[in-house]
Amino acid sequence: MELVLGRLKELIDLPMEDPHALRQILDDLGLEVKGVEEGAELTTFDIETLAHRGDHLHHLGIAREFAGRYLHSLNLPKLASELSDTKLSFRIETTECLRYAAMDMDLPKFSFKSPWKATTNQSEASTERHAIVELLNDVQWEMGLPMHAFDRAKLEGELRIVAAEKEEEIEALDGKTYTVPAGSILIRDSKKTVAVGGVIGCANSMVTTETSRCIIEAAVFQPVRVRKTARAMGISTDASYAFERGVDIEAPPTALRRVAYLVNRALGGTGGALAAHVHSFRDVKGQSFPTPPVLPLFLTRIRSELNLKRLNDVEITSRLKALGYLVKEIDTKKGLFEVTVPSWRIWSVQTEQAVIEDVARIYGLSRVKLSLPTLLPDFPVENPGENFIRRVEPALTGAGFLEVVTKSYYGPQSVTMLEELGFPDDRRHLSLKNALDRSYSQMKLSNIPLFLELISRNLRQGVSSIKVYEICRVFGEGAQQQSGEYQFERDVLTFAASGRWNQSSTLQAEKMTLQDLLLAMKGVVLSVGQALGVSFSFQESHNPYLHPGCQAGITIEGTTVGVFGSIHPKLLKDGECREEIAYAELEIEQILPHSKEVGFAKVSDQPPIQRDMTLLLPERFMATSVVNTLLKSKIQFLERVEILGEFVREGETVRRTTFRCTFRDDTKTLQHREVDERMEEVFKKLSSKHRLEVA
Amino acid sequence: MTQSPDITSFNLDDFLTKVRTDFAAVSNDSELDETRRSYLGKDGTIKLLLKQLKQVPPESKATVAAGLNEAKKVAEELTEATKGELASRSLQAALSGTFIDLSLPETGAGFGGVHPIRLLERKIDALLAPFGFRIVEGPEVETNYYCFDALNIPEHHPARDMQDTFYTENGHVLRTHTTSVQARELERSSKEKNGGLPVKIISRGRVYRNETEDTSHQSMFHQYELVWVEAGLRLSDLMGILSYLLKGLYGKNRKVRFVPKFYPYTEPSLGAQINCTICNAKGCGSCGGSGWVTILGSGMIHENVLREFGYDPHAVSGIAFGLGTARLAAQFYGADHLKMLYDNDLRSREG
Repeated sequence: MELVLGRLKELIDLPMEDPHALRQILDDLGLEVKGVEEGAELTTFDIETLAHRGDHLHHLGIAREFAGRYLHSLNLPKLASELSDTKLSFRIETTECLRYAAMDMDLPKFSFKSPWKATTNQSEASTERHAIVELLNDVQWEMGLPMHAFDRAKLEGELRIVAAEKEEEIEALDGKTYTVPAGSILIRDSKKTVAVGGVIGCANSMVTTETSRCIIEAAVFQPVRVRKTARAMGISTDASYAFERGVDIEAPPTALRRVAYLVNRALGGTGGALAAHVHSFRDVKGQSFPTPPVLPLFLTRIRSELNLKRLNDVEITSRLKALGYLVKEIDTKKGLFEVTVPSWRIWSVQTEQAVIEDVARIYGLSRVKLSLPTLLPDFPVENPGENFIRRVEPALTGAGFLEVVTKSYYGPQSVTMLEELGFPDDRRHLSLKNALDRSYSQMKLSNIPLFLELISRNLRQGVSSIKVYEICRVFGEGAQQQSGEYQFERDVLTFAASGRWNQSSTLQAEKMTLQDLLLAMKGVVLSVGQALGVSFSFQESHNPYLHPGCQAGITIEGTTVGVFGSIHPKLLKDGECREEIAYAELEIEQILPHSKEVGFAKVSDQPPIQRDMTLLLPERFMATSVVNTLLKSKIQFLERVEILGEFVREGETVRRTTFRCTFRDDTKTLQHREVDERMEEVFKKLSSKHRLEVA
Repeated sequence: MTQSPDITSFNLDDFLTKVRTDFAAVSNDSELDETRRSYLGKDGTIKLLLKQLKQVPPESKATVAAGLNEAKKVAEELTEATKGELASRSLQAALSGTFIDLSLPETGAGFGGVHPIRLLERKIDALLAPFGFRIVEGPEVETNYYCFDALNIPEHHPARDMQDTFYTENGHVLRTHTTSVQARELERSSKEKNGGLPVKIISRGRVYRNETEDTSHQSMFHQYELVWVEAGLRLSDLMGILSYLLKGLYGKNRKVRFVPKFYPYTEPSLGAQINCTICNAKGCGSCGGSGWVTILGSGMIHENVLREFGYDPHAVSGIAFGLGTARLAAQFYGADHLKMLYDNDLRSREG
C-alpha cells in the first residue's frame, strides 16, 4: 500500500507531519512501513499491511486508525447527492455476490489525473484507456472499493451475476486469455461473460476512449470465492487483492456517489449535485449479505488484559466509536457493553478478543503495563529425546565430531542409488507432490546419501578430516506402517568419519587404514553407549548400504538398535567420493528404554584372575561372536571377555585373535585350579559352537 | 680442611672465611656431604675445637666458645643453603635438557561442536527454564488437521497454498510451523483431568515452506515455539515474558517494542521488536530504515483454537510465541546469511 501523506492529511488532521515520527505511529498501528520517500511535493510511505486488514489498503481506512488513536474527526470525501434506485436492471443469481450496485452514466470525454499520482499494477490492454479507469482506480485507492466500468454499447440485454457452471475461457482486458474455473462469479449479459467478478473484466466490454456511455459496477464479492478464482486463473489484480481481504459491505453506493462527484467535477461542475449524466442507479443486497457481528465486551477484561486498572470507560468507548464501532452500554455495574462491528471490519472482527486487540492497538501497545504471570512450582519431566541428545553430545563432540543439519529430502538419484542395493525391509520412500525441484522430491529414508554428498563435497574443498553427526528424522512408508498410520518417522543419531581422524596437518596424523578408521568409530559408538548408560554389543549384520564385509549390528540385550560400518563402495562410487566413510546409525527410540542414568558401579573386594587365549579365527568370522557366546553361556565366575587384538601370518588367511577372560568370585579369592576348570569349559563351548581351536 | 685444629690459634673471622670458601667450592651432593661432615661431623673441625676449649685461658673462653657456636651455626646454614642451591642447579640442568616445541601441530581427536541452532535453542531454554516448560515433539509429516484446520487456518487461507506448503503424494503436509505440535499437545492435555492445565510446552525443530532458496530463504529451517495455557494469563503477561526473553538474549539495555501482527491462531497477535543493534534505532539499511528489527511473532491463543480442543476461552487463556531460530542463530554466531547454517561447509565451522 502506497500511502501519500498529503492525501491522508485531506482525510484527517494529523498531530505531526515529521515522516520519522509518523513512521513510528504507523508501525505502532500495525501498518509496517517498509520505506519512506520524501519528495519536494509528495511524501509517500510504502506500507506492508496485515493479511486480514482489507481496510488498510486505502487512505480512508488508514485515516480511521488515526481517528481512533488521536480522537480526531474524519474529513470524509465529498460525494454526489444521494442516488435513488431506478429501473437499471440486473439480477444476482449467486450467493457469492453479497451486494451489487451499478450506475449507468454518460461518459463524455474528460481528463482525470490523480493529484496524488496513483499507480496501478494492473496492466491494461493496449487500447488507450478512458480517464474513467484512472478515476475508478483513484477512488479505490482513496476509499477501498474496486469498481469496474463496462462500455454500455457493448452490453447486450440484462446483466446477471452468476456462478460459472463449468470452466470457461475469457479474454481479459489485459489482453490475455484465462481459464476461469467452475464456481467463479461471472458477470454476464444475455450472450456473453463480460467480467470475472472481483478479479478482472473482459476485453469484449471494456471502455475505451471511444466509449460514450458506461455502466459502473460497485459490488461486494465473497472473499474466499475471489481468492479461489484468482488462484486458479493464476492472476492477482488490485481488485482481487482487495476483495480477498474483504471490502466494506456498505461501500458500493457511497463509492458510486464519489465517482459521480468526481466525474461531475472533472466536467466543470461543482460535483455536489447528482450529475445530469447519470441515467440510472440500482443497489441490491444479495441473499448472503452479511450482518455485522454484535459482540459483548467487558471493560474489566480489557483492563485486565492490558494490566491497566485505571483505564476508564470513556477512554475505551470513545476510541472504539472513533474506529466506527457502535457502542451500547448493557450493564454499568458489570462494565458490560455491546459493540457492533463496523461494516468494513466484519471480515477481521468476529470475537471479543479482536475488539480487545483493536483497543490495545489504538490505545498503544507501548502503554500496556508489562507483567509476569504468577508462578507456581513446576517440575517438568525432561523430554527423553532431549535427554538423549544432552548425554551423547559430550561423547561425540569430545571425539571431535561436529553437529550438522542436512535437509530432510533428497532427489531421485539418491533413491536409485539406494534402490539398486535394495532396502533393509519393504520400506518405501515418501514422495513430495510439489517439491521445489526434483533434487528435493523424496523424504529421506536414510541419512547416507546426504552424508555422502556432504563428505564428498568437503573433501573436494580440501577438508582433510571429516567427522560429523546429526540427530534427525528419517521418513518412509511401508513395513513399519501401523494400523491407521500413513507413514513412519524415526529419530536417528547418525555419525560419520572420513579422511584423517584429526584435522591437523601433523605428519603423525596421516590417513588411517579403513580398519583403524572403523575401530576408531567403534570407540565412539561405545562412548555414546556409555554416555547413555547402556552396554552395546556387536553382531553380524546385513545392511545393504554398508560394505558387506565391514559392518556390524549394534545391539542391547539382543535387540538391534543400530548399525555401523563402511559405506558401500558402490555408493561411494555413485557419490563420487574418493575416500572411505565410516558410518554409524542409532535408533533413538529403540535405545531410550534401555538408557539408564550413569552412576557408580559396585567394585568387588575380591581380586580377578585373568587368562589370555589366542584362537584361530576363519577369515569372515566376527571375533565378537566369541564374546557373545561365552557371556551367554553363563560360565561360572566368568565376568568379562575382551578382544585384545589379532595377528595374521603372511600367506595365511586364518587370524590369530587373542581374547582375555576375566574371572572373579565376589565372595572369596578364586583359586587357579577353579579358573583352569572354567577355561576348559570355555574351550569346549567354543569348539562345539564355532569349531574354533586354540592357536 | 684442617686435620688437627688448634684452639689456641682460633680466629673466628679466618675460620668463617674458610668455612664459606669450602662450601662455595661444593659442586655436588657428595661433596656437600663431605664438607658438612668435615665441620659438623663427629670428627669435624668444630667438634674437635670444642673439645679443646678447656685449653683456652678463662678470660678468653667465653669469647672463643661464642665464636665456635657461631661458626657451627654458619656451617649449618651453609649446608642447607648449598643443598637448596644444588637442587635448583640440578633442576635447571634437567629442564634445559628437554625442549618440546608446542607450536607443532596437535594430535588427538580434533575439535567437535554442536550446531549453532542448537546452541541458540539452549540459550533460550536456559532463559525460560525458571518458568518450568516441558519440551515436546511432534511429527514433521503432518495431517492438514493439526497443521491448519485445528489452528483456525481454514481451507482458503493463503498459508495452505501449494505455493507455500509441501504436500506428500499421500495427501499429508510437511509441517509449516511447530504450532502443529501445540495442536497435538492441546488435544492430548485436554483429555487429562482438569484439561491437563497448566499446559506449558516448548516445541522446536524443523519446519518446511515451499520457498525458492537463496542466501536468506530456505525451504527447511528451524523454529522455536512456546505455548502456555492456564486460567488468568493476559496480554500483558505475554508482553512481559517476551520483554524478559529479548532482554535476556540481547542485553538488558536493549529496547523492546511490540507491533500488531496477524496470525490466524492468535488474537491479539503481536510482533516483538528490538532496536536495531547496528544503528541503535536511528534507521539504517539493515533495519529497513525503521530502527527496529522484528525478532518473533506472538499472541494470545485464538479462542477458536482453544474451543477446538474443548477449552472454554472464558475460563482459560493461552499465550504463545514462535521465532525462527535459524535466522537468530545466524545473527548470534556470525553467519553472513541463513544459508550458511545449512550448507555444512565444514571450513566455516572451524573454531
